[in-house]
Amino acid sequence: MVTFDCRAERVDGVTLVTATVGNIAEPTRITVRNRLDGPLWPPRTQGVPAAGWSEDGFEGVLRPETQALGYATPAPPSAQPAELVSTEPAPDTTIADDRLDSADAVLRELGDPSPPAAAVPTAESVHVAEAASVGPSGPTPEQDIEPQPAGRQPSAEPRTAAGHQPDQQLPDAVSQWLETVAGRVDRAERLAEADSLSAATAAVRTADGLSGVRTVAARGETDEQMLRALARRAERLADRRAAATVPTETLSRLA
Amino acid sequence: MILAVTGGKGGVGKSTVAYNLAAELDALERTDSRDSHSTANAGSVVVDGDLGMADLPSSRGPDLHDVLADRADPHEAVREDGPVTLVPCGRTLAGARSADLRGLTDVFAALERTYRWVVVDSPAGMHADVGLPLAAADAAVLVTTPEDAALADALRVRALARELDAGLCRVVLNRAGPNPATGAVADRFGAPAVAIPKSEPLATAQAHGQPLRETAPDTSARRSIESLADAVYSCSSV
Repeated sequence: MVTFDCRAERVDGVTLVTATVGNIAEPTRITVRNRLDGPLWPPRTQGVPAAGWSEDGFEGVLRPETQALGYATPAPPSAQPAELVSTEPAPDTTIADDRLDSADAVLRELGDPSPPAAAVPTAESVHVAEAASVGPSGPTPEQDIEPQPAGRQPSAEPRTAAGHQPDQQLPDAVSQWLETVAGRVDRAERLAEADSLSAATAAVRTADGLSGVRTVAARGETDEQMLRALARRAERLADRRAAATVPTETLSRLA
Repeated sequence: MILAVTGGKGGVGKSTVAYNLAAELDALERTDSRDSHSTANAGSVVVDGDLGMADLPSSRGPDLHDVLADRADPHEAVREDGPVTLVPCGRTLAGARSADLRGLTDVFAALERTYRWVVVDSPAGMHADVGLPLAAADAAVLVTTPEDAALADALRVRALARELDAGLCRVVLNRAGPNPATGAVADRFGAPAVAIPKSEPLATAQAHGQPLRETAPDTSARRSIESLADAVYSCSSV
């Protein structure tokens, strides 16, 4: 008979739940569910949740004897923070940690090579760097950090250039994303406008065939939602920034 | 078919081999489908899988970073206008950071629905950006130079490929001297070895974003790459 003990402890505004699954006689598939009223933060390796964890709890095969499980949650603790929902002998199953059979498992085992956040130049730091560079032409520090391939001139894509010339310089990542979406919007418009067979054929061709048409169709809603969300957030931030006046003179007198 | 071109050590010629191999496979595929009048998938695409330090030719438009950050679909990142069809990778650290590697497998699968050959140019090292292409790949080509350090790293990646069930199709002994030790390498790696001689035209072609089959088709390096492509082609039909 498999035993199950668990308790919760509140540390710095986070509840840590520890469970001990004991008396396991043979490899056993168990399901443990979080009972606290809040999101479950699973243990992670290399940023990837450990094998078997989901937003509800843990499901996986445990080795014999006694095993420990633990997770965190912002929800307040209670006497019975988690429950053992089911146990089922699984003698022939390979233990989840031992297999490299999913993208998550490969990431956990080998590690995500992404650069750390601190190494990534932010839009602000790039602007500062731009302001600091004196020469109007020649390589700016931004180009040193983020070498752009040749041909990244605005004229390289006439449609975007003719359609909407941005009057304000936007950060590179933002304008790049907007251009990608603008491309899809252009294609969607052309597909919508096509009212003759030849126009439709031409529109389908420029949308990279029927698979391209499906892509444009499938992403329509997401694109719209993201664009509107961006607009709302940008508006709110702009309002907040406009309302906050930095009293440079007062502060410099105090300093 | 997804083919991972990998090797462990940096600077051994993975990108050069991947780019030229894609060009040769594409040509083979087109000859083959002309003979059989089949309407099979279009030739080949090479994916620059080096998310942190991309080195295949790039141009304006969405790239692999955008695809992995869910800002674009895989087919939107394909460039078909160059000498070799390719999916370039972004050059920025911000792009590398925003890319979610877990999407890689789906990207390869989406490309494989359109292209007969998806050649993945893997980065150096042994991180997940090397492991994921191997896990997704049907076969792998391991690139090494004859130096001890490169061979040692290639052997480590060989072990990783075995762990991830990626069959090793060929070992490329790149920048080989006049008497390459292909026999010994094949014994050690457990797969046939192909030697590509050190070649100035090959380096120049790569620097200009051209495959050797277009700039210097009558060189010994080209013939080696051609035989590598033949071998990979037959790996796929086994």
